[in-house]
Amino acid sequence: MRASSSINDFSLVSGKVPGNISGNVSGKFPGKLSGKPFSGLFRDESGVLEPQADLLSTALAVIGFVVFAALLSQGYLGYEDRSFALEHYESASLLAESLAGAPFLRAGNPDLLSAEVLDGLSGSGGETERERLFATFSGNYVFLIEVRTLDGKWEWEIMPDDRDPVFFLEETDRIAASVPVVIELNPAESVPGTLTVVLYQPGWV
Amino acid sequence: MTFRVRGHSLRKILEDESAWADFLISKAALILASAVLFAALFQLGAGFRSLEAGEGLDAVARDFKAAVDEVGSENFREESSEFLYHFEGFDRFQASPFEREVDAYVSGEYFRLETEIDGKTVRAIKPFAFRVLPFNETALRVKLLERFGAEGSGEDPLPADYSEITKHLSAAGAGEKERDVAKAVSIKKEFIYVKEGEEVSGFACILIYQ
Repeated sequence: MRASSSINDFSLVSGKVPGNISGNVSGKFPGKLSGKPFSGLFRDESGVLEPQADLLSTALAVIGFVVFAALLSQGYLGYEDRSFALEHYESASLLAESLAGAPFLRAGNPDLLSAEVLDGLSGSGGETERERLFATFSGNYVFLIEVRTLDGKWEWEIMPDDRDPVFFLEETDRIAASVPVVIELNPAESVPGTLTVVLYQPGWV
Repeated sequence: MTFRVRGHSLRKILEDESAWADFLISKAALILASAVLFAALFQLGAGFRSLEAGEGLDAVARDFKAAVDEVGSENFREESSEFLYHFEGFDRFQASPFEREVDAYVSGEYFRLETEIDGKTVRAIKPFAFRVLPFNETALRVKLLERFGAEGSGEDPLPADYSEITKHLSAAGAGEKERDVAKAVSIKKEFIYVKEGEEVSGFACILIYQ
């Protein structure tokens, strides 16, 4: 009686299951309540569900493929962005390291950056010195050099003169790398600081 | 008469409950969808092959750029240096499917590798961080002598200002020069000296030639 009622439940869905199937089903799967609706599905020859099942499985496969492709492309785009940023960070780091070791920025002591030289380079009268400094670098990267003491009391900014100041606007995307340096403020005082190279987005290639 | 026959056939189709049309349409749709799905899968596979080749080429170009930049990062030391770069020494180049079919070009601004994978052109371009010139020292000195009347060496410094020199060098190095990836490439740091009044100062540039 319980099996018959479950088949009848299914017949409400399909609308075409003949009532005599319930007797066969209950005889074949005695006492297995959960298997009974499925046995009805297997024996249903009206072909109502079959085409829809094909379409559903195909739709599932297509959706799965689209999700897979979307995930792959998202992963690849993320990787591209990160490797692009990393590559430019490496360039900024390389520039910062080579500048921190440049004898041009030093005076008497080979291990210390000279505040006097930095004053000359960042000042309005240091155009020739800046040209000489930036002549070594290719025009591919738009960058400026910032040197500051750790206590924040002193700060120098060296920008190339032949670049449009629009490149260095605050809202422009940039990547920066810093290296630690020691700055000689005067023969009696040296303080720790950082030399930072900031690459600006218009120069990214 | 014809209308009647048609009407009769149409009624027969409408009253036919054997679902053959449903069956055929759904199977045709299934075959079509499967074909599209498989085509998309194969296309994805082909795309990945091309992508992988591009990444391989990119890695080779990045390695060469790193070698050039490494020579350049030492360029504040007042001494010349030379480095021989072998493409075959780089594992990714040897393992890649495009070995011996790669064209390499160097200009004053960038390094470019180009090859073909499955009929498609794949390129990798890397910019240099330091000033690069795609010719040897003799050609550099000749170009400087022609333009400024001095070779730019320590004994014969250039009399002009920096901006004029850098503009001339950028123009001289703008053209691409092809390099043979089967042979070693020389990466050499050279100094160009400029006389400002009584003071002589110099800046480095990197020469890439074979």
